[in-house]
Amino acid sequence: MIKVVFKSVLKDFSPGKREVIEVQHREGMTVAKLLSSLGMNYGQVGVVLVDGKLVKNRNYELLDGSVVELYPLFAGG
Amino acid sequence: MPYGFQGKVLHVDLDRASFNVETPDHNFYRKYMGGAGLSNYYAYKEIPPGCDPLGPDNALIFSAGLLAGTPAPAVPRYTVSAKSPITGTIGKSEAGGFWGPELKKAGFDAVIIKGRSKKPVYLLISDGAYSIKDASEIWGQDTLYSQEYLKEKEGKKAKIVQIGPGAENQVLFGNITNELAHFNGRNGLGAVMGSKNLKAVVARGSGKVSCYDEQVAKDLTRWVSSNLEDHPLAYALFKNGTPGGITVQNAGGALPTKNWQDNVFEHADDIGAEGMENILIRRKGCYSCPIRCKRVVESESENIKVDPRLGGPEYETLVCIGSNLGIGDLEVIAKGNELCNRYTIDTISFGMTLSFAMECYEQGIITREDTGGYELNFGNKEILLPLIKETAFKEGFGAKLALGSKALAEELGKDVEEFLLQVKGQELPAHDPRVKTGVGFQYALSAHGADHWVAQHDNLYKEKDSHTLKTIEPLGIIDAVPATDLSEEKVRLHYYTHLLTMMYDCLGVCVFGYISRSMIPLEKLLTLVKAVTGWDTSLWELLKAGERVSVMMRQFNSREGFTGEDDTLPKKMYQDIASGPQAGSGKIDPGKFKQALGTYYQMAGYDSKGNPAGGKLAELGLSWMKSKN
Repeated sequence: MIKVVFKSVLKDFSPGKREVIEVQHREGMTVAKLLSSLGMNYGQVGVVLVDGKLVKNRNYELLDGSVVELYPLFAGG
Repeated sequence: MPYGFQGKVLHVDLDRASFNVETPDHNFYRKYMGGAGLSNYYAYKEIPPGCDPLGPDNALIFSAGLLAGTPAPAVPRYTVSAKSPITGTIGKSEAGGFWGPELKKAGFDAVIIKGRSKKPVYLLISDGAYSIKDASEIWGQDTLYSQEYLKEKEGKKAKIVQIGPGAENQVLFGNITNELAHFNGRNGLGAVMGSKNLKAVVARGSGKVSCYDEQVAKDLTRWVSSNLEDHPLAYALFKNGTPGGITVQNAGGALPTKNWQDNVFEHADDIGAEGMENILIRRKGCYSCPIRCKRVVESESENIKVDPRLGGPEYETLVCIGSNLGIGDLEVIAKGNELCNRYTIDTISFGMTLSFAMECYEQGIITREDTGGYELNFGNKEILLPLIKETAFKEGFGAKLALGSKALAEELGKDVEEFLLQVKGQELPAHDPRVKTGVGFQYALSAHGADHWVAQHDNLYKEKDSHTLKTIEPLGIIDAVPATDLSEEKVRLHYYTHLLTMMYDCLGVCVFGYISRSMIPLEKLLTLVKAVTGWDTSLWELLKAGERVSVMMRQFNSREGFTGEDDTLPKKMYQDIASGPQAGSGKIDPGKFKQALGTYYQMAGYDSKGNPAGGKLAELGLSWMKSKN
């Protein structure tokens, strides 16, 4: 399983508007594929942490048991 | 009958206490539109080359956006232009709020103020009439007192643009407020107002801004209200305002901390939107805007009372007088924000000048003797509030801070370049070019010194399947561009979104309402402009108006002797990020950056010196600027 944590306003756009969900891990699952499966895109997700580390590569492969934290996009303010 | 604009520009001469009403023709408005288009046109015409920014010859120009005052969403903005005392360049500063629409309703698109009154005065513009009135009873008073005084005198519905003691005292980053909580924050244009002995401009209008088809504007406002909660960026602005950026920037290793020595801050959670819930009492918006991104905060704790009437701290303020000073106490920051707003000093330039002084202090370059006993260590929250007051009144060490960081560095006379974070004399806002290089182009290329809203930000367009990238397809940008790129594609992205943002500044459009930072797409904006004005216009024509703003500003600077040599970045940007998740990366290659600027000059039609070439002026109908008067 992969644990996904929706930070700040992103929880209002998550499945069931939950702050934390678990999704089934699949072979070859990348950050971009995870976002797509959640109905999200990089226009709303600005920062991705995997197991506490900043991940900037959309093709970063997620392992079973990973914890993914998603922060909203902030582009000027 | 004009639609969208009123067809009248008010010229005020404070030396002679005289007025002149100009009535430009329809084609003039079609060319310069409003907002930054009008203000920069008049700045070039009215300000003599080489003039003292704080002398009577400087012109202070207020100009409402073309769409301001209509019932359309998120179009409250007006531009203030003058020669800037902190940069020596053209000055330009935008604000939302309520004053711009009221000026239009009072019958004018712009006001141009020259000269210097012998005594403190305010200007009243009321339903087509105008007069100069005595302000001696409020000169020296803070903005809250003056607001109440003027509302009592001129009516509760009057909208007031004014300065407090910091700008009166000509602190070089003194700013201008309207309705207490909205700011023409940058470039020290409040100091220009102070130099003219002009306390306030009061607008009162019972008229309306005529639209060719007003229903389209109303329907668009309704569409924003109905769809706001479904749009992630607009909804985030409503729910958390700009303070929502603090925890995001911190998580991404992009939060300026301790004069940008660090990129993460241990108290980020305390000072961001989540921490602010404890003192947030309501959300507020500008004229006709459903997004309501403004915060209203209040604190009644034993030691610190924060008055909710003076606006809540924005992201920039939370960084510049918070993390950037190592201060993680939100109540102290909110009080600091309130004081800066009472005295009208820019929280960005003040905070960045203080953080520069702090780094110099920790390096032993500034001593406790120099500061009059203040210990300028990062994290020392005790010094913030007294130093804001001393700066506004130019007392003690505050008199040094009131110069801004560049002039303070020159006065120190030591090698402090590596601690300075300014371009053309204006301090950097709180976005790090080492994680988004296009922001570096913004800082370096901006005619009025470092500014983070002369183009859109890189991270909106860095991924191929983002909805934000799709928003600028009408500009012909289809492919994603990496955030830290210095390629030709990045230069083009910056250039096109710069034109877009300057177009917004002509129209009075707020970047928090429209793409790519928010929800209203270009197609709907174009429909809106057509409906308001009745013009058979196009995105092409509107972007050309934006380009005209950009070129007029560069041409003003050219006349003042500026060249591409002034398009620089601070030294720290050429060093790797020191801490956080991006530590050991990010340094910008100076050679590649300079090369990219060269590419930009060619794209923009500039000459080898980095100034607009004759052909570009001709294309934009600006050949009249060729003669250097």
